[in-house]
Amino acid sequence: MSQGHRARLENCVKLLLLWVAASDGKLEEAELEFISAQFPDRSGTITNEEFLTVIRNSDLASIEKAIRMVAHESRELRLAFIDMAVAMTMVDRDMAVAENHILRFYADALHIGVANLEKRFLAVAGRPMEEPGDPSDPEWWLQQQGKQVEAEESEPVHDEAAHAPVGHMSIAQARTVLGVSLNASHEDIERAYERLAGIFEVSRVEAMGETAVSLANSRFKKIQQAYWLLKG
Amino acid sequence: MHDLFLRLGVSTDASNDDIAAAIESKPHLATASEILLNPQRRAAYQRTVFTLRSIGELRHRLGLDNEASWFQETCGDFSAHAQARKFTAKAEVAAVEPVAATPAHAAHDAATRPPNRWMKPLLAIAAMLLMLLTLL
Repeated sequence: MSQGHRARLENCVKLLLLWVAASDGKLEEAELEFISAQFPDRSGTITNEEFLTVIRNSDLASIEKAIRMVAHESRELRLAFIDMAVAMTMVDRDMAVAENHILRFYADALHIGVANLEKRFLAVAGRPMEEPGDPSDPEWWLQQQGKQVEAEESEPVHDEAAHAPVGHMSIAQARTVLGVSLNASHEDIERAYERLAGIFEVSRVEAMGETAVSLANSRFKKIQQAYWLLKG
Repeated sequence: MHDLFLRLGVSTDASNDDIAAAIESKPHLATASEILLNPQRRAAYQRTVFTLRSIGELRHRLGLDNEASWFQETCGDFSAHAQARKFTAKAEVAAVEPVAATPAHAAHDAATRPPNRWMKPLLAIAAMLLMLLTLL
């Protein structure tokens, strides 16, 4: 792969992953910080702000160009890209409806198929991928409220140890990172760690450039941190 | 998911008064008020609409309109065709600046897409049938 091709591919990957991150529109300071940490700006390359301007302006020609370029890569690389995109949706506790549709669009456009996307999602997130909800239906909003209450009740909020931050990560967050339940055994935690460490191995994504490598590295560090926290 | 703005015939930056008036004129869309007249819900809903409209347009450009994962039945409002109909209807009613009212994808469509993807196989089948009839 030539340097020029690699640089172009890196830009395409960055744009497509940023579209996932920015699709819920809540690009507040914390989220921008997250993006800067995941995709550090490097001199001589397109900045995050420039990419975000493309997304804010709905510059579909650029997004189309990017997806067409990634679609020409090997199946292995396209699957690795899908894993990265899934990881981007895991920043928030729940995947937004828009994120869900973007993932499905990527799966179709990259000739991966939704059945494979669902398999990848299960592997990366440790839970099945839901169908996108319907925010045009008032019933959906009621369900969301119900889910929020249920989630708050299911977390041991009074258990200080469970939420004590260790290196910026609480036990509850660690469980989300590894995709394991409250009742997960040591074996479950071990299995989840091994699976995720394989998914975010740098060698899988290095052809996509520095951005993907940086994202995989950062995800791997989080997985390691979660593993040590839950194991200890 | 429906595009409530499309169904009500209002733009995404319509005022609450305009939305309320549109809902009043279309009683079957009364439940839209629970979403569009609630500021928090409207903001979140609107962001999703923008993304789905983009996906609809991109799917059209890439020939992915009919993929099962697009939930054509439930996301039909966001297909490029539905959105184009909205623009066309608007242009007809307003009868102003027809060029500006033409959606970008329609121009792109005309320039880049084949006229009909089913046309070729249909013509091939018709030719084969004709040959068979001639032989018989």
